[in-house]
Amino acid sequence: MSESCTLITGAGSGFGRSIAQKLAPSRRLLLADISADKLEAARRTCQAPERHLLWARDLSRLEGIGEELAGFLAAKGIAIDHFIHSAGVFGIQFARANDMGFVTQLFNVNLFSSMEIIRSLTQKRVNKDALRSITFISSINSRLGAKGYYTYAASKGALNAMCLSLAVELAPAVRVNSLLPSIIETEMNQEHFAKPDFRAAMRVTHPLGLGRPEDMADAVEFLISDRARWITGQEIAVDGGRCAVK
Amino acid sequence: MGETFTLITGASSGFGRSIALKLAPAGRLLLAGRSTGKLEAVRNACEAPERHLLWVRDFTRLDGIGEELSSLLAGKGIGIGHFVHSAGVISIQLARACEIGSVIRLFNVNVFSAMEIIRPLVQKKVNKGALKSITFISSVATRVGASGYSFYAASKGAVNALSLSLAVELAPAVRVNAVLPGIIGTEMNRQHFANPDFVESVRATHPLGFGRPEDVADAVEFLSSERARWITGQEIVVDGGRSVFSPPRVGND
Repeated sequence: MSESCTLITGAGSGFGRSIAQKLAPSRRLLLADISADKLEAARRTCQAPERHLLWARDLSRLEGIGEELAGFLAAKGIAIDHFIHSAGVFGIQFARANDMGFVTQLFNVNLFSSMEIIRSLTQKRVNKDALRSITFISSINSRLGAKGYYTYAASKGALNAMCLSLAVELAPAVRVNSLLPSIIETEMNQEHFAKPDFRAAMRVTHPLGLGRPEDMADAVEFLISDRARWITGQEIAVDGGRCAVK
Repeated sequence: MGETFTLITGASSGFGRSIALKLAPAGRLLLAGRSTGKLEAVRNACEAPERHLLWVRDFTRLDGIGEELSSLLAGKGIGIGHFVHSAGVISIQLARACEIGSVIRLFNVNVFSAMEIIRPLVQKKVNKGALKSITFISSVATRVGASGYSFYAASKGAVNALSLSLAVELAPAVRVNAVLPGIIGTEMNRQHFANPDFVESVRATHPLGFGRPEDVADAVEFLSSERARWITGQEIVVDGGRSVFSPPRVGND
C-alpha cells in the first residue's frame, strides 16, 4: 500500500500555511494552492520540507480537479488520509449589486472544488480507502449576519450543512467536521488590523482577545487525530467567544 | 407606484402551489415556474384567478433572470411586496459519484436564482422600495444529516446563511426568514410515499405525524404578514418534531 499524505488546500497563506506548519513534524503533507511560489515558500517554513509535496492548482476553475488529483496520487504512488479544505476566497457585495460572476468564483473555491476533491478521495480505485477525516474551514459568518456578507456566508453555510450529511454518509470510515473561525489577523486582512479602532472593536467582541492562525491549526490537529475518533458532523467555533457575545 | 404583488417561485407544484392557494385571497400574486400549463392550473385553483400574473421561467439557467423580472415589473407597472423562494430541486447523490454539473444546476435553482431575483427587487429604480419580506423555503436537511443528501443540504445551508446576512443588510425595510420543512408528501416525492416502508419511517420519525404542504404555507403566510413585523434572520423549522427527535434503537448498541 502507498504512503499516506495529508492534503491541505489554501496552504500557501493564512490558516492553510499555519495548519501545514503545525502538522509537518508528524505527517507527510500534500500542499495545494493557486500560487506555486507561495507553496514553495510555505513548504520551506515546514519541518523536513523535502518530505512534502506540492499541487499548484487554481480551484476557481472546476474542470478536471478530481481527475487531476487522481492522476497526481497515482503518479506519486500516494494516498490521502486527511483532507483539510482551507482554500477560501472572501469578498463583500451588496444584494442590490449581486454579480453572478463573483458568486460563481467564490463558490467554486469555497465549496464546489471540495466536492470534486472528495469525489476522488472516496473512490476506492483512486484513494484505496485511505481517507480517515475531512475538515472544512468554514466561518462564524454562517452564524452571524452582516451587511455585504451574504455570498461569503452562504458558501460557508453550505459547507456546514454538507459536512453534516457527509458525516452520516461516510461513517464509520471517515469523520467529517467543520471549524468556524472568527476573523484572525493574516496577510489577507492586515490593513484592517493596522487600524487601532479595528483592533479595539475586535477586543470588545472577542472575550478571549485576538486570535492567532495557530489557534486554528491546533483545532485542526486535534480534529484529525485519534483523540477526536468519536467526533463527527460537528461545527466547532474557534472564535474567542465571538458567537457567545453576538 | 403600481400595485404590489407577492412573487412565488416554484409555484406550479408542491409547497409553492400550496403557498399560492393560501395567499391568493389576501393579495395579488406573481406565480413563477417552468411550465405554463402547470402555472395556469395553479392560477385557476386560486381565488380570483384573473388577479394573478404568471412568469414562465426556467431557474436552472441564470442568465438574464434579473433583467427579465425588471422588465416584467415595468411592463405590468407593478412592484413586488413579498418574495417567497419556493423553487427547489432535490438530487440524491453519493459523494463518490458527485456530478458537479448537476450540483451546480441544483444550486442555480435553490440558491443563485434567488440572489438574481433579489437584486432588482432591492433596487429602488426597479421596485420602488416596495419589498417588505423575503421568505426562503429551506429544509431540515440542514439540521439532520443523511447519506446522499450532502449536496442538497449544502444548497439549503447556503440559503440559511444567506438569509441571516440579508436580514442584517436589508433591515429595517425588508425582513428575511427561512422556513425549514421536514419530509412532506408532494408531487416531487410521490414515488417515495408509494413505498410502505418509507411511509412508516416518516411516521416513526415525525412525532406530530404526517405534515401537509399547507403547514408550510401557514408558516409562510405568518412570516410575510405584519404579525411577524419583529421577526427577521430566523430559521423556522416546520417538521412535526423531526429535528428534535431521536428514534429509539433496538437493543443496547
